[in-house]
Amino acid sequence: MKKIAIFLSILLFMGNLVANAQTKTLTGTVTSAEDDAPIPGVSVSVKGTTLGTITNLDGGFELKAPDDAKTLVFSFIGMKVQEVEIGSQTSFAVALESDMIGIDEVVVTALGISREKKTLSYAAQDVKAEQLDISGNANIKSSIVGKVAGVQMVGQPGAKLGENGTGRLRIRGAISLTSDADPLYVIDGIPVDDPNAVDMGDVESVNVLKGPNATALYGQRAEYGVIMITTKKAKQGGISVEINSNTTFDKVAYLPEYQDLYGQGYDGEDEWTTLNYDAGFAGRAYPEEWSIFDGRRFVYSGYADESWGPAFDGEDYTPWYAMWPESPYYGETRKWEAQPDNIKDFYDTGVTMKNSISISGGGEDFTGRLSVTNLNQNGIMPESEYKKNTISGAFDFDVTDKLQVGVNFNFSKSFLQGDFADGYSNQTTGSFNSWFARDVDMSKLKELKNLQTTSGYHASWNYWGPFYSTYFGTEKGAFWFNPYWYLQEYRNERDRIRLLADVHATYNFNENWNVKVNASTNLYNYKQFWKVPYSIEAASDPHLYNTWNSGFGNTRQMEMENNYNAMVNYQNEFGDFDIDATAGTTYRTNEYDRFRANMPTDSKTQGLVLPDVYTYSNTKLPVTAETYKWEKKVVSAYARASVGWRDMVFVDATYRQDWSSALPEGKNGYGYPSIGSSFIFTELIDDDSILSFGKLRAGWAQVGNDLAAMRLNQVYPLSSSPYMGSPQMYTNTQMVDPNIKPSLNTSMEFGFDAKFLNNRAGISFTYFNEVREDEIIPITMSSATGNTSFLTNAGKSKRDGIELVLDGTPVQTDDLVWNISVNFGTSNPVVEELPGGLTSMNAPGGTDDWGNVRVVHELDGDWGQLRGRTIRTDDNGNYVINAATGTYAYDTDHYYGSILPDFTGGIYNSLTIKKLVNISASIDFQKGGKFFSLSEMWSGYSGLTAETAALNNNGKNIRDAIEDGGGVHITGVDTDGNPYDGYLDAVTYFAQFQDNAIATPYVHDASYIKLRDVSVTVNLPRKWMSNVFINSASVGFVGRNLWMIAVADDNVHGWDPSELSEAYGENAGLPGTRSYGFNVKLTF
Amino acid sequence: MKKIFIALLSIVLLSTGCDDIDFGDTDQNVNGPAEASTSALLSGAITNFSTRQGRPYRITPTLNVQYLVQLVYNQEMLYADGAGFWQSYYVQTASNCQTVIDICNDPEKATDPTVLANGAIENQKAVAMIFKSVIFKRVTDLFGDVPYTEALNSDILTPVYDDQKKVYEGMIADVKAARDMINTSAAGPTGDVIYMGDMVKWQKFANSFLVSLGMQVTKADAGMAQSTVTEALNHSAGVLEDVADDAIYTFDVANDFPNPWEWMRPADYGVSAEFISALRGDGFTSNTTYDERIQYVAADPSLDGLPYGYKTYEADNSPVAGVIYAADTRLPLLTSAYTYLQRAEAAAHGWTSEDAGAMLKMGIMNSYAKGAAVYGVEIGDGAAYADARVADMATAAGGALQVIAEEKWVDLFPLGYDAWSEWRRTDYPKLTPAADAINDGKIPRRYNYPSGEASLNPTGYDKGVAALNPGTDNNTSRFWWDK
Repeated sequence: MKKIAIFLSILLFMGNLVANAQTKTLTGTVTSAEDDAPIPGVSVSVKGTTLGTITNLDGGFELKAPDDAKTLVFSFIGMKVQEVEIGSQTSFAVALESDMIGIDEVVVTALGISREKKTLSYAAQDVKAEQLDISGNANIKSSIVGKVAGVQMVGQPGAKLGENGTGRLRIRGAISLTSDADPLYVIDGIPVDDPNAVDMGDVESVNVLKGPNATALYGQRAEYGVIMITTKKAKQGGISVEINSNTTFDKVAYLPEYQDLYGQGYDGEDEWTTLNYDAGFAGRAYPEEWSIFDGRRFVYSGYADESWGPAFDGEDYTPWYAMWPESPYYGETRKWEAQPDNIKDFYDTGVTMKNSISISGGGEDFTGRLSVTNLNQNGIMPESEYKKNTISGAFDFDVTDKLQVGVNFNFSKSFLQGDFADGYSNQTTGSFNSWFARDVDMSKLKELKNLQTTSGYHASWNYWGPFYSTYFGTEKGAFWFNPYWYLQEYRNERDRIRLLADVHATYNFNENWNVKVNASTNLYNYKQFWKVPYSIEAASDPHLYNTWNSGFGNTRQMEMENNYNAMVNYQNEFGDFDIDATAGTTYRTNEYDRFRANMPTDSKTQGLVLPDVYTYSNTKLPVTAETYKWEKKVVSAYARASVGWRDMVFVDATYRQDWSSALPEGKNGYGYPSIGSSFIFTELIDDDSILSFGKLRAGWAQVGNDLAAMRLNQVYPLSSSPYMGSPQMYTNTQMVDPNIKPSLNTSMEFGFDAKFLNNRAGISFTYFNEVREDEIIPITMSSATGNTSFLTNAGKSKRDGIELVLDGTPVQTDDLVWNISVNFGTSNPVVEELPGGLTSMNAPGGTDDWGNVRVVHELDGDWGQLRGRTIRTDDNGNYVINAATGTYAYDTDHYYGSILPDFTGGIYNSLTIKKLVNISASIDFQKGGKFFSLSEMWSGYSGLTAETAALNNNGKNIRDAIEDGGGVHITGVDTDGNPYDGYLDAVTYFAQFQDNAIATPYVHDASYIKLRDVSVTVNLPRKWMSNVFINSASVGFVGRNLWMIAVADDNVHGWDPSELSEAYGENAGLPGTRSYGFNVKLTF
Repeated sequence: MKKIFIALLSIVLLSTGCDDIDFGDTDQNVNGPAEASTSALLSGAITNFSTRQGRPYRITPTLNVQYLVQLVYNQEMLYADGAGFWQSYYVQTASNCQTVIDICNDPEKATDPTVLANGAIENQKAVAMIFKSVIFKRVTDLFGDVPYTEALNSDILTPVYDDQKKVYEGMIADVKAARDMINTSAAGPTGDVIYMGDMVKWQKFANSFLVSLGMQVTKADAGMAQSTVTEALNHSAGVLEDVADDAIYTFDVANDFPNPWEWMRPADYGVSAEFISALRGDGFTSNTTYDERIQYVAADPSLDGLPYGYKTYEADNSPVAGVIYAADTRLPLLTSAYTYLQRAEAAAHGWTSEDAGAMLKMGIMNSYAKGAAVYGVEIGDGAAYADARVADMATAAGGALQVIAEEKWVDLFPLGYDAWSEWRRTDYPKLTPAADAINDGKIPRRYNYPSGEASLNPTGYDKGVAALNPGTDNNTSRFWWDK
C-alpha cells in the first residue's frame, strides 16, 4: 500500500514543483520511529498551501517554502500525520510513528480507482505482501487463504507444479447453480485468469472485492468476486537494488494409514503355492531359466494388485526382480515382510529455488522499477520439473506538469515437465492407493527400473507370477508398470509464455478535472507436447489388461485479451460537500485460438510405425487435427459518483451498462446499478481515546452476467475424423432459448468498522445477502427429445452470511511488537427454485471417477450436496443388513450434505522482537462441508488401509476365518426389522462398498485447522553494514504445511480438506507435503 | 473539459435506453457448419448406430442369450438390474434421421440445390424414415413403451410414452410409406453408407424389415403380425434374398471408426459351453450335426467353453474367435439369411404357401455364405448341415418352430439385440438362468428405463412403468409383445 501512496503523492504534487521566487530552502530527513529506517515517499507540504515535495530514497527532502510559511506537514500512508513548526529552522529530523491500522489508507477499488478506505460503503479487505508471502510460497492463490474473511481454496493438490496446481479460490461460498469458478484477478488493471502471471515477489498488496457491492463497476466478469493485485512500484530518489533468494524443500508427509500385516494376493494363506518345475503349469512347461525355482514357494496370484494375500511371516520367498536372469538378484530370495514406507519412499524431495533481483529508482519526473525472477522447481514426482523466468517493469514519466504517462509490463516464460495425473488408475497415486501390495520394495523398483525380462520386455513388479505367466506365455506386466520406469519413459512437456502490458496516461486539466486513458493486453501462449515411446507399447499386453500404443500429441493455444479504457474524473469541494465522480467507457476484446492433434494411447490399431519418431507422417492411422477458436467483444459504459458531507457521510452510486457480442442480436445490452452509503459516526464524538474511529455502511447492488461466446450460434458437430472420406454430422445436444437474457444478482450488504485505543485494535463486520435469479442454465432434458439439455433462464438461489475481521496490536513496546489479525466468514447458499419442476439438478463439482458420489443441488436444500448411495438405516438409526449375505442394504440418491463449509477463517500473528527478529505464522480453518475419498474406497477394497487388517471385538484380526473368531462384526437390524448380530469376512465387507457403490464410509466432514505458514526473519543490525554497500539484509527460515492441527473425527486417514483436487473430494490425489526453507534478502 | 465529462456521462445515461450494439460477425461460430447437410446427417445416424461401444450398448444382450460368458467383470452376465441407456439412440442418431425428414418436408429447403445434390428428395426421406424405424425397433424392443410420436421434437420437453403397439404401428406405417415413396430411377441419397444409394436394395430392405417388425409382435397380436408379414412378402419389390443384398456396415479403421468389439478385452470373455454344445451338435439344442460356423465363434473349437452364469470359474476358457474382435470386421444389420429364416417361420405358421424346410435351408446356406463373406473363414456352403436341420424339424420337441428359432440364434451371433428379441418371443433356445444371478434369478426381459427419466419426464415414465407386467421398472418385467 505504501508504494501506491507514493505514486499518488507524486501525482498530487506534480503541479507544485515550480519554485517560488521569495523562498527559503528547507531540508531534512524523515525516519520511522519504529526502526529508525529512512522513509522515502513521505509527503512534505507547507500547511495551508499546495506547496510540497516528497522524500527521496534516503528519506531526505528539500523544499523551497515562502518566507512566511509556518508549519510543515509530514504525511505518509500507514503513518500518523505530523505537523512541525518551522520557526527559524531550515533543517528537520522527523520521526514518523506508525498508524497501525491506517484509517486514512487509500485502497485500489474496481477499475483501479483509488479510494480512501474510510469512504467505502462495502467490505474490501486488503492484504499486504508481508502477510501474503510468509513462506516464499510460489502460489499467490494459496497465499491469500486464511488471510481474508470468506475466502476458501479448492482444488489444489500441493504436489502439482506450476500452473497445473494452483487450484482456485471461492469467495463467499457459491451462489451460481451452474458454476463454482475462480474470481476475476486484476493485476495493475489488467484482467487475468491466473494471478501467478506475476511473481509473488513483485506483489505489493492484494485487495479482495467480495460481492456485487464492491464489484458492480466491473460488471459481468465480477460475479465470483474480484481480486485486485497491485505490484511493486519504484520510489523516487536514488537507486535501490534488492536481491532475494529463496530455497524450499518439500517432503511427502500426509498419507493414509496403511496396514503392514498382509501382502500381495487375493486369497490369504492359500496363495502360497510351491513351484514344481517338472510338472509345469496347466499343461504348459516353465521356461528353462525358472528351473532353479523348483520347490520354492510363490504367491499364486502373482499378478494380484491387492493386499489380501498371506500374512507377513518373515520367511523366504522369491520376489519379482529375482525372476529374470538379467537382474543382479536373479534367483535370490528375500523375507516376506511389509514395506511400511514404500509409498512415501517413492516420492522425491521437492526443491524450489527462487532468485530475484530488482532495481528501482527515479528522479524528479520519472520512476522506474525492473525485476527479474528465476524459479526452479523439482517436484516430488520423479522426473518432474518446473522452470519459470519473469521480467517485470513499471515506468512512469511526467511529460509535463499536467501529463503523466507510464508503462507496466510483465513477461514470463515457463516450462513444465511431468505426469501429475491424480485420477483413478494413474500410474502413481491412482495405483498406490487402489491397486498395490504392501510388500513391494520401492528401493528395488528404483534401482531396477530399467530391468528387462528374459525376452527383453520391461520387468514389472506386477508380472503375472510364475504360474499365470507360464499359462499365458507372457513376461509382461498384468496391470501396472514399474512407476519409476513409466515416469522416465513418458514425457509431458508444457511451455507457456505470458505477456501482460499496459500503457497509461493521465492528464490533469486542473485540480478538479483529469482524464485517464489506458490500453492493456494479456497475451497467453501455450504449447504442449507429450509422447508415449515404443518401449511402453512393447511392455503392454492389449490382449490381457494393459493396452497402450505409442504416440504423441501437440497442442498450440493462444489467448489474448485487450482492454481500452477512457475515464474522466472530477473532484471538488462545495462547502461541506465533497464530490468525486467518474464516467468512463471500456472496450474489451477476447480471442481464443487452439490447434491440437493428439493420438489415442489405448488403441489397438493406432501407433507409430517407426519407433520413437514423433512426426505425423509416421502414424499408423492418420491423426486428425482439431481447431477451435472464438472471439468476444464487450463494450461498457459506466459512471460513478460519490458525495461526502463533512467527511462524515458518504453516498456512493454507480451505474454500468454492458453490450456483449455473445448475447442475442437486437438485445445485447443490459445495465445494473449500485448504491451505498457510509456514516463515520465518530466524527460526532470528541473523545477518541477509546473509540478512535467508527463507521456504519450499507449498500445495495446488482451485477449481471452474460454468456460464453458462441453459445447462441451453435454449429453442427462433426465426427473427429471423416468416415470413408466424408465427415459425419450430428444434431446438437443442447437446445438454446432464443430469448435468453442476462441474469442478475442482487445483493445487499451492511456492516461496520471500528478502531479502538488509538487504532491499536480494530473490528470490521459485514452481513451480506445475495439473490440470483433467472440464471442461464442448461436444463437437463429427457434425451427422448433428441436433445440432452435446454439452455434458458431459470432457477433461483440465495446466499447470506457474515464476515468478521479483528486486528490489533496487543503489545507494542520498543522490544516487542505483536500484531494479530483474525478473520472469519460464513456463507449459506441455498437453492430456492429449480427449472422445469426439477427437484434436483447437477451442481458444478462433478463426480468421482467411479460415480460413487455426484454434486447435486437439492430444491430447498443447501447448494451443491454430495449425493450417492448410502447404507440403509431404520427409524432408530440402525444399519439394515441383508441377513442372507451379511452385507448392508442400501438406499440410492441419498443427500450427504453440502460440499461447502459452514465457516472458514484464519489467524495471522506477527511478533517483532527488538526490531530485529520477526516471527510470523498463519493458521487457517474451516468447519463443515463434505468430501468423498475415492482412494480410501479402493484401498479398502484392495486391502491396503489399516482398517482392512484391524482387530474385531473378539480381539481377532478381521481377516481371520469367521469360525476362528475373525470377520468384521456387523450389528444392526435385518430387512424385517429383527436385531442382527453377525460376522462378515473382511474381503466381502470391503468389497460391498465398491460393488454396490455405497459411499457412506468414505464421505467425511471437511473440517480442519491447519498451521499453513511460519516464518522467522532476522534483520541484520544496520550497524553491521555501515561499512559496506549493503543497506539492509535479512535472513529468514520458513515452513509450510508443518502441522495439521485437527481434522474431523471421521476423517480417519487425515486427508487435508484444503488440498483436495476436486470439488467433491479426493480422486486418487497426490499426497500432501511439508515444506521447509530459507531465504536471504539484501538491499543496496 | 466539462463537455467531455458531460458527453461521457450522457453516453452512460443514454445507454440505458440503448439495447443493442452491432458487433457484426464477432460471435460467428467458425468451428463447424452452421447449415445441416442431409447427406452427412444420414451417414452420421447410420455410423453412430453401428459404432456404439461399451458394455451396456454392445454386450448385455449377447450375454442374455448366452453366446458368451464373462470371466472377471461379470455384472452384465449376472443380470445386474441397473439403469439402461437410450441417449445414443435418440440423440445424434434418430434425431439425425428426423432432421433429414424435416428438411425433406420443408418445401423451401427441399428445393435447395445443396439438398437436392444429396439425392432425390423422396429417396433421402425414405431412407431416413426406414433407418429411423430401425433405431426405434431397437429402442422399443429394449424398453417397452417409449416416447415415439412426440419424441425428437424441440417443442415438447416431456414427450408422452406411447404404447408399444402404437410404436409398432407407426414404424410399420413409416416403413411401408418409405418403401412406396422410393423412386428407383432417381438418385439415391449420397449419405447412404449401406447400399451407396442403391434404391432397389432399400426397397428389398424395407420389405425384409417389415417382415421382422411383423414377426416380432406374433405373440401380442397375431393378426397384425400375419398381415404385416404377408403384405411385405407379397410386395413386388421383393425381400433380401442374396448375400450381396445384405445390409452391412463397413468400418473405416484407417479413420478411427473401428468395429466396436475391438474395444472389448478378449481376456474378459469366452464362448459359453452352451453355445459350443449347440454348434457341435452335442445336445444343447435340437441340433446333432457339427456346425462349421463354430470357426468364427471360437478361437479354438476344440475347447469346451464355460457354462453360463457363474461368479467364478475354475476350468479352462474358450476364447472368442479373433475375427469377432478385429477392427475391420463388418457389421451385418439385416440379412437375407435372417429374412429366409423369417420366411421359414411364416410358412410354419401357415401364413404363406412357401415350404418351411426349403426356406430354412436357404436361410442356413445364406448364413454360411454371410459368415464366409463377413468373417473371411472358409466354412463350405452348409448344405449338408442345412439338410440335417431340415430333417430335425420333424423330430425336435418343438417342431419346425424350435429348429427355426435355434437357427436364428446361431445365425444372429454376435448380434445379441435381434437374438434376444427372438428368444423372448419364441423361448428358443431353451436357456437356464445364471446360477449366480444378482437380480431375482430370471433372465432379463428388458432394460430398465434410463436414470433421470423418473425425474425429467415423470408422467411419461410412470405411464411406461404402469404398462409393464408386473408394473415395476425392473429388467425382468415384461412389455406388450413379450407375453
